[in-house]
Amino acid sequence: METISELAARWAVRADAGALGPDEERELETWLAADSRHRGAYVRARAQWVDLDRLAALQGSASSAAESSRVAQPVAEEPAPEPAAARAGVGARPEARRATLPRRQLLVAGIAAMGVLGGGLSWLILREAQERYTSGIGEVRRIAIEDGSTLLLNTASEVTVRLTTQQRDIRLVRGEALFEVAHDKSRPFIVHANDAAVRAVGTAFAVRLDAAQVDVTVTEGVVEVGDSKTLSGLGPTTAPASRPDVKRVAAHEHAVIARSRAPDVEPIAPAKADRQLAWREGMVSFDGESLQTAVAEINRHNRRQIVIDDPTLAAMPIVGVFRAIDLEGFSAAAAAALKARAIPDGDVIRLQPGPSKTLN
Amino acid sequence: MDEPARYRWIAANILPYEPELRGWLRRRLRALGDNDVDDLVQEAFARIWAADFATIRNGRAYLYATVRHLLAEYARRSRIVPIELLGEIDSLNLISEEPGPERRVGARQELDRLRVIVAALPVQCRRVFELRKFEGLSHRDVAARMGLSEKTVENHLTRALARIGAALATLPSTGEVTHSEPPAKRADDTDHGND
Repeated sequence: METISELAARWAVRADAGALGPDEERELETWLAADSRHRGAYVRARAQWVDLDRLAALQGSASSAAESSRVAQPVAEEPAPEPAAARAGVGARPEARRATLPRRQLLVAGIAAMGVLGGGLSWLILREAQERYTSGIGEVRRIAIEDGSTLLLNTASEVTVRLTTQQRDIRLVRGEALFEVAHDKSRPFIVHANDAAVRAVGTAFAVRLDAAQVDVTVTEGVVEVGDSKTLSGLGPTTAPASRPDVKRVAAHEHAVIARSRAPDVEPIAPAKADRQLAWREGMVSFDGESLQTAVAEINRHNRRQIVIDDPTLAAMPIVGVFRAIDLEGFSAAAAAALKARAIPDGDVIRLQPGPSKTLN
Repeated sequence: MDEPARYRWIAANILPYEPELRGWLRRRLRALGDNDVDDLVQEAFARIWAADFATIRNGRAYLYATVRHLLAEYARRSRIVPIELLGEIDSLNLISEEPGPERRVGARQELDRLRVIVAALPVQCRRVFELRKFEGLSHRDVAARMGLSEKTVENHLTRALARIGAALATLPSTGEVTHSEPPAKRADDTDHGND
């Protein structure tokens, strides 16, 4: 005989598939009403099933990265970005996911055919082709590139990758990415963002592109930051650190490059660096930042947005670790902590000053 | 909040604390058998489901408060909880409201655990689960792909969810994640600012 948990799991699986007819709906309601433990077990099973989507999204991005490392994907073949938030929903767009596989197989076939017909030429074209990777809102995507390096794209981000025999050129078009660079002395790894650039041989660092500035946080090794043109022009053998307009940034350091200004380098505490990179784990973390800053950060990860209706409220500090795609959870926590109210209003959640509601 | 959003809220705010709650119940209330713990957890989820989530500012504290009420009710009906344990149940009040960072298992660790758990599923069950969850196929498409009936697909998914759910709801084995017993330890502390 099945236990309550097993029965609940069965109902959760069926309900999630949208497979319940009117009779089954009634059967489910009867079962739920029969014993409060049934309701609890069912809620728990539904929540676990939803939670597995979050992990599946991580797993999915890891395995699609493995595939793209085997097959260089030209721009046109890049599947449309799929936000984790959408995947987490019930009945998460299976069509889009299903389309990926045959398309990849087609692409492999296409490359094979080109190899037969065009020989070395098509290989060269492929090698020179620029690849573009994007992540949707709420999505964190891991991408393996051909040289063995890894990109981790934060929410709503875009990079292009161009590998030549002399150089590995990456452009951060928007958003934020963490780079784990495969060691290759003969081919510097250069990340461009606006006019600024970060140059590495083998190291790990994150680059974030905002309207006003580029932020670089180094987690391992040393990189050089400076002007895009300067860093690209230097051969692999020169020592760029000797130039005044190029600065070295080491592990546990952070550089800010505002438009057409020299980079500003300062130490960053490991705990703070970890907080800034909490998005790697699908989290966002705040330690006294203003509500306004925190909301801007959490909004990056969500289609629904939080709006703060009061400037005093916007300036209040926020402390805590939140799931990046849990907009409701964040609003509720912020409202409770700041004696405010979170009011759903169509596509936005409004935070307004007001009496806090208490536990229980 | 619509129903899917409520499940997500539970997933984000309650599920992460189920393993430590179960661990604590087992260690401290030895009179409870596994079935009793399951009953308590299920009752707790039912009560939390009935609550207005907007009023819950800390999922962990709310979960423990709910379990404490349930235990007190059981004790009054002198069903399973020996009366001398009530003092200990009261100490649950002293749980710090802020979970320490060590109690938040990183997504990557969770993913690693999930991989191990999924790898331990029977082969066909595992394949069905992966097609449904990781590749997003519908039950019908999974059935077609694997040459199974939809009923069989449903059976496999049910088994996968039951097993994975049970495994994720227990604490990782020693060495995976280290943290103390928050409620029991804090019971003797005068404040909770010492994390």
